[in-house]
Amino acid sequence: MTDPAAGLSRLFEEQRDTLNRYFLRRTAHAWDAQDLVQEVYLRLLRADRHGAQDIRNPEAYLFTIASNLLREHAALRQRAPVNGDALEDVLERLATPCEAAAGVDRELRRRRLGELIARLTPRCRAVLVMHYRDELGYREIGERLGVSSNMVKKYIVKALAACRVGMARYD
Amino acid sequence: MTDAIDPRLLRRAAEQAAEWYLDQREGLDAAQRARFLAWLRQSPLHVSEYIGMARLHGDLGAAAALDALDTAGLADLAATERAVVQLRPLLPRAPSAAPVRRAGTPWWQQAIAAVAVALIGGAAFLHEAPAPMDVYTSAGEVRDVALDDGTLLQLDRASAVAVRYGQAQRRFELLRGGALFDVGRDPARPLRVGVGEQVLEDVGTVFDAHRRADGASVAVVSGEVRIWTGEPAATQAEALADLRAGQYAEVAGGRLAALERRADLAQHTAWLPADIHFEHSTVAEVARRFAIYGGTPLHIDDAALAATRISGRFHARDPEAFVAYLGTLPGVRVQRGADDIRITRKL
Repeated sequence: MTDPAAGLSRLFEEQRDTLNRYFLRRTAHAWDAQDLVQEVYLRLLRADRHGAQDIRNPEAYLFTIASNLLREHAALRQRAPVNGDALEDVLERLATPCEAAAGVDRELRRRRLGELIARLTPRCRAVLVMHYRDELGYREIGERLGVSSNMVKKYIVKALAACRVGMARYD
Repeated sequence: MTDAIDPRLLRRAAEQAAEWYLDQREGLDAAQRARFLAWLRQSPLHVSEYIGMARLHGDLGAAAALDALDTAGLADLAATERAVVQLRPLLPRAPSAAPVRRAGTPWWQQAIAAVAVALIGGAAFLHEAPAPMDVYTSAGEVRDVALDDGTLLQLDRASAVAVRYGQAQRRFELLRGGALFDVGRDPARPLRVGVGEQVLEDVGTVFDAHRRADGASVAVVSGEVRIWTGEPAATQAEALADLRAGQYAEVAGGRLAALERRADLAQHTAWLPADIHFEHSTVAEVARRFAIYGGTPLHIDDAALAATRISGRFHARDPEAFVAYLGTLPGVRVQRGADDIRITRKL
């Protein structure tokens, strides 16, 4: 990135408090998202040498690494440690820049996600909402929409990816 | 954080992560687990997308619960989508980014696929620019939506409207509830509103339409609305009814069930909010909003004044406050006639 221009530095002076808050949040968040992923990835690779065959459940393994890293990092920053190793805690921590904002951020995140869902193509939206809100299975949804279970899954995948990409833009 | 990543690569990784996530929920066998682990190890992007997908999942139930349509409404909505792959790009591409071709699908294969889709879609696809949009309200809100063609849509509570604008037609489907349509002029593209089996054809109008258990109700504030059962036919004689300003009709089971020639429009539009709130709107737009509520017609005769932008909040059923406000603007004169109010410039 380029250095701030002269005009910008004046703006920084005037808006220092606001900007500081903003950047603190951004950097805290940036660690959570990016560094953690890098670190998880490296540990995943390292595990190879110690016998990847032993990893019976890759997903559980992934989240164990992630939650351990978060705990280490929290200790490093001398903040309250992550309580327990509940998956929700880990994910919540990943998604929010700081504890104080957690509740607010979750609300905001859900609202944004709700807006993204509303903007999906009609079928993607219908399938996603039927699956996650109405808790209908692929087959039941397929019957209602007159498409195969396979297609239903494809629509869900498409919808999830669109939501994920849309949410990533807020990160 | 994702600035440097090619959007197509990102989407592909997101789709793979979604697939793995769903498969994981169904349970993986040993071979699948090995492939999943190999996929995770392929790239930090895969790790990040998989964690992101898990995080997304945590919010999906709550976010999906915000959707205003019920299961049947969603099925109706899905049925409005063409059985053709959408060609519009799913991500806005940075204008400076040069097109990067990834290994995988050669460009000529993509081009052939695009041509094939266009052929399957046929003429209808080529004529209707796909810009689908759906607007809906919860039980506690009334919402207005301004569309590019100048049409203003006000949604009643607990309502849903699918907007399908094409080059030959502007189409709305009232999926549930009701709405007030203030139609922007566009003679080349007739505007039609599907209400269950009924189709309303507009002729430059402000009208209210609601879905009823067995049909529809329509109240016309200004202009004229033609009601059809099914799509509009060539001959006018087959239309169910022509409604003029001030008239109200109910259709049930495909037949006219009620017709009020001098309807109480205030009653039929009682759901409209009591306030008119606007920001940086032109005086002409605000005057038009007041017209929806009936009352004395307000004419803005001065073009410069009509284009002046104002912000504020007024009682919708009391245009006098708005007229008084206009009277305070420099150089503006209010002329009260027998059945209208004219706003002109002082000479």
